[in-house]
Amino acid sequence: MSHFYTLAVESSCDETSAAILDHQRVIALVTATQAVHEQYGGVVPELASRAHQSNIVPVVQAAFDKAQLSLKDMNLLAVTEGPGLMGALHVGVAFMKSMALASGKPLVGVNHMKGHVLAHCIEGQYETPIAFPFACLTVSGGHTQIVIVNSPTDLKVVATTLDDAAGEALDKGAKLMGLPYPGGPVVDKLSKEGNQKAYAFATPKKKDNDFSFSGLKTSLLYFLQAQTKQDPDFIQKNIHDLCASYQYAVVNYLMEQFFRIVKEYNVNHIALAGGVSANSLLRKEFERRGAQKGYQTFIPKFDYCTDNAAMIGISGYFEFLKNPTVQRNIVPQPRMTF
Amino acid sequence: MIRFFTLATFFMVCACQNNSKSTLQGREYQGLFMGKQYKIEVVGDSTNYEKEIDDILRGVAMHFDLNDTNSTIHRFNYNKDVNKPIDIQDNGHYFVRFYHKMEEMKEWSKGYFDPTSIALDRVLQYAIADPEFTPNFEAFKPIVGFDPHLMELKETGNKVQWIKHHRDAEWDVTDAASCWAMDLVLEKLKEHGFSAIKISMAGKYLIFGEGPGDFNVVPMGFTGQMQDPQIKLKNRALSFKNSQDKRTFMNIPKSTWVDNDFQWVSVSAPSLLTSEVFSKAFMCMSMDEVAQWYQSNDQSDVQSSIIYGTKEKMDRATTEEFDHMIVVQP
Repeated sequence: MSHFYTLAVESSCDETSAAILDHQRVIALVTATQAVHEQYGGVVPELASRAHQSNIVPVVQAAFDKAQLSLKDMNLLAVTEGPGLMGALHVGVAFMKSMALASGKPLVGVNHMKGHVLAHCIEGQYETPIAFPFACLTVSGGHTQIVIVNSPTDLKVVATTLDDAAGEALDKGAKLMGLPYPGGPVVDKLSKEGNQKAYAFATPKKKDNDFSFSGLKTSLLYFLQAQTKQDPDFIQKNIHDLCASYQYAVVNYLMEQFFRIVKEYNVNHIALAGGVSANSLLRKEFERRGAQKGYQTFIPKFDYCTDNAAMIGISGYFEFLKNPTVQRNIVPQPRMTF
Repeated sequence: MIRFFTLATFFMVCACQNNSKSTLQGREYQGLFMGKQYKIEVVGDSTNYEKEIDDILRGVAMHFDLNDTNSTIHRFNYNKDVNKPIDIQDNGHYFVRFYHKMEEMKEWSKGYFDPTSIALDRVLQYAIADPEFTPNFEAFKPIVGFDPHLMELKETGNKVQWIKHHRDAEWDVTDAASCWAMDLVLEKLKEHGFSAIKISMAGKYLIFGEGPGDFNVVPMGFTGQMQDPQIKLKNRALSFKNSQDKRTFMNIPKSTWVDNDFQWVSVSAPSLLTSEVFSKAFMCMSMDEVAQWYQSNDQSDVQSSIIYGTKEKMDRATTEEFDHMIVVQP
């Protein structure tokens, strides 16, 4: 078959996204970000569902327009099955189930976290394609995982977070410093003019294969409480150094854990995935430390870092190649595991 | 009561209106219910009945809000187990009462209103944007059609169970349930002896009694503004559907697209639920079918006005009683 077109939809949190792929190549990606949550300082599940309902048809249609294709050209439909917000997942799953029924096309349900990892397999991103096996550090607002990827359908989580995710730690830290939502990118921006060694925050010293960020966040809280008692304007006066130091603590902890754990596995290629991989310090440190240790590093382009349907399309494509059985029993799974 | 179905040539006229409004002695309640903004105005007493209102709204939402992941409807829609009953906590009997209302409405509307049509509605929302795509309506027959082959309600004493007989059977009653909730709120508030109550929600109205000034006068829904033609409601509700809404409606009994030239359908009935259901049902029928419906339901108090035709020439078909309620003519 010369072409194999996949229509993919992602709606697990606050991005409504649709993509068209031809085999492993993305030919259209359209994502609508929901600005409505900014005023609430976090994603409001009910508002997210309603925004997905409004966005989903125009976003899918825009993807078809961009690809100059239509539903009749598709060979496969893929949708995020979980994990995510129940109401948000529901919109995408219900829509794609109806589309599959109306068009007679096969439908594949995709694990969102696998999607982040397999985004590296999208063609045309890297001069040298990523090779299996590889290790992937997935860092987002909801997850922090290390995944060993032996093949597109053989993925194993070897480390995860026991409490907050890395992105959550950055967002919550930003909130403690009075910064607007989403705090992670704001911290990243303000850090550029700060000294990352100005303050030290406690990070877990655990040697087991998991992450924990709650102590780091508490360390920042106590530090700010103590300082603002002496000087109520402490945060405003030192915001750049605070952001730089806190961000460094998060990134340094991520890097130390990742490289310590990954050396136990026989991989030459390492990859970064998830929304937090847009963080400039994390990207820099991942590349610097990876090269220092002899790994070939892979960081996807920004469009494939944040939640997007292209990653769902590539994962659905691989799933379908492995098992081309028509699936109709797809239901949203908010706590879906690998 | 004999009903006359009249046809009259229709010319759109924008009416000017003095918007002076008397100050009301009473109270206003506003909020968001199942995604819709609502406002309740009461005349004659300023006691706060917010808790009573909220209790009813919560009681309905806990069963029928699709965006509440703990709601009964959510549990039903995503229940993978065919023929396995879902136990329902129905302390206020909201679920059972509404379920039977839905059965009644489906029957009364001759199947033009059906709470199981959601899967089809979604496809139509996409299909209107993609002219090259013709949905396979046949594929939906096993999962659309509100009757016991698809789902069942079992009531044994205080025990209520809902059973689905097809894995993909779904309910979406957001519009109907929100209207019914407002009917319940009105009934509850009436017990307190208010002289007038007005409930508005997403361009729909439900009015009890007679309030001061233009309290009972509402826009008929062309634009939702008071420049619209206006109707005076007393102990009645009003709901409407326009040609935009129609694009996502389905002729369910015939499993086809809606094929009529209706531009606007407005229905006034004693309850908001009935008004809502029949504004949708009539929008999906042909003019002959609407007339036939009235012939076989000549005792009903469902009043309607239908604007049909093309932009160049539009006509209006209306029941006589509906015409009598109009205060600013279209």
